[in-house]
Amino acid sequence: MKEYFKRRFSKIREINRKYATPRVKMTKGVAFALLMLRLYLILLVGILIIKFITMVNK
Amino acid sequence: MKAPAAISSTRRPSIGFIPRLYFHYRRVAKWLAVFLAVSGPGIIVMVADNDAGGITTYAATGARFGYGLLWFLVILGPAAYYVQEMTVRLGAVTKRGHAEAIFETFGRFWGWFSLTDLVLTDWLTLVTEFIGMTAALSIFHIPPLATVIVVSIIMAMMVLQGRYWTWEKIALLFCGINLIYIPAAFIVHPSVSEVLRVGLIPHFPGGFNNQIFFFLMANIGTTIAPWMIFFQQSAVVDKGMDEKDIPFGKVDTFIGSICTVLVAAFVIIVTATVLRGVQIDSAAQASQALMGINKYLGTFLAIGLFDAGFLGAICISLASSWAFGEIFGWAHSLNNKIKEAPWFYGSYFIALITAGTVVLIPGAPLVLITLFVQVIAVTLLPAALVFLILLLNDGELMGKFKNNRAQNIISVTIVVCIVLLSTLYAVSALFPNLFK
Repeated sequence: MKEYFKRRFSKIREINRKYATPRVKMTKGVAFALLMLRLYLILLVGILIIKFITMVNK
Repeated sequence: MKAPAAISSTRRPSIGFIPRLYFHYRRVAKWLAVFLAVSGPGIIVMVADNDAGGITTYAATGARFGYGLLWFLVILGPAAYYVQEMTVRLGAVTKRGHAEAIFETFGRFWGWFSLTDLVLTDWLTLVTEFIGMTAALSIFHIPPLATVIVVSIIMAMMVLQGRYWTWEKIALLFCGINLIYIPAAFIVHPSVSEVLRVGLIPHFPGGFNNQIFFFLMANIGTTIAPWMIFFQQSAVVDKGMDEKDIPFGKVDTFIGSICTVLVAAFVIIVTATVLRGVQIDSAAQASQALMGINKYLGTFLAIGLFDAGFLGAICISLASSWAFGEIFGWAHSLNNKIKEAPWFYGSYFIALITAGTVVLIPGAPLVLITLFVQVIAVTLLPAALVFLILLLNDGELMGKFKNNRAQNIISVTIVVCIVLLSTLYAVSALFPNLFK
């Protein structure tokens, strides 16, 4: 099992190394805006999930 | 003897009518032959877009709001076209799937974020496809377990035959069956004048409230979904399309967008005409209700629902598997046999089996899951769209095929509208009395 996960994580490390340097370097502003958008959308999804749970429990 | 006058370069020798006609016929026939060879990804993704969740959304929309939201679909059709057309260009020019394009251009952080988003929304949507299929066949007294097993076997056979083209032709056949809603709409004899009068004038039936936001979001989510972006781009690559095929890909996508709006509109017309005001929460429920009115109508809707779920399932599961294969470096083409691409097919079957299992959980709120998944998918859509727009504006990557100003304006408008609507819905969910 340990060996299995070690192999899987080594593949992920390999992918991270391969794509470590993006071809397009985003400015800090753009990266920040994108991150905020992502986090905001995740927050909205969180609200949706709470609404879903509320409706299921009714 | 007078020397003959030189033939002017502007004078052409006259050709008879029949040869001219034949020349034009050959030109059109050649264009059509190339188009039929290249078309497929656009029509499949757009028609599959009317998946089980979509049919459920449209059926519920028609029953609740009558013809009142038809105008919204008419707007969504072109929006879906503009989004999907971008994926055709991106796939044909880069010859890479969407996930790989994001990783390579923006790096691992954004790549993993996008891939995680895709896998989660894909899996949830796959669950809704199985919900639709089992609900549809339950009308004919076929138990859910039997549906899940048989569908899984059919889907396995479709992908394991080892050729993308064969898979595509079978998928196109199911796309044709999806048009069954069109004759169904004629059976109910809707008043055309009422459909046009009520349906095509933009308005919000019942006012601006929590319920309308939910349905607007669900309708967007079923017309433009993150999986469609990843699917079509990967399908374009797997099919081997390149830059010279882009015009055909655009026509393919355009025809698909017409089909998607037509089917959606006809589903709404059916339930709006016959089930207006009836509490309908799912397409299966609508089918059962329609069985009592007209046996053929209910049967058409049930067959259409099963077909929609099946079509959605075969596309969505592929979208995830292609994305995994691109990033993890596995062989990831339908042209590979299972021994050549074990992980590609393995991830496909894992998604299928786990999603099918959810449907078999006793007491699971399947209808609610279906509607909410549409809304969650559209909420996460702007994130996928932003990266698509950024990639299409990369001159180094796209060359002469990068977005022009009009395409950017339309795409950014779509993103802004979705974010606004998602926000309005979230606010109305937290403060329901605000929009009463």
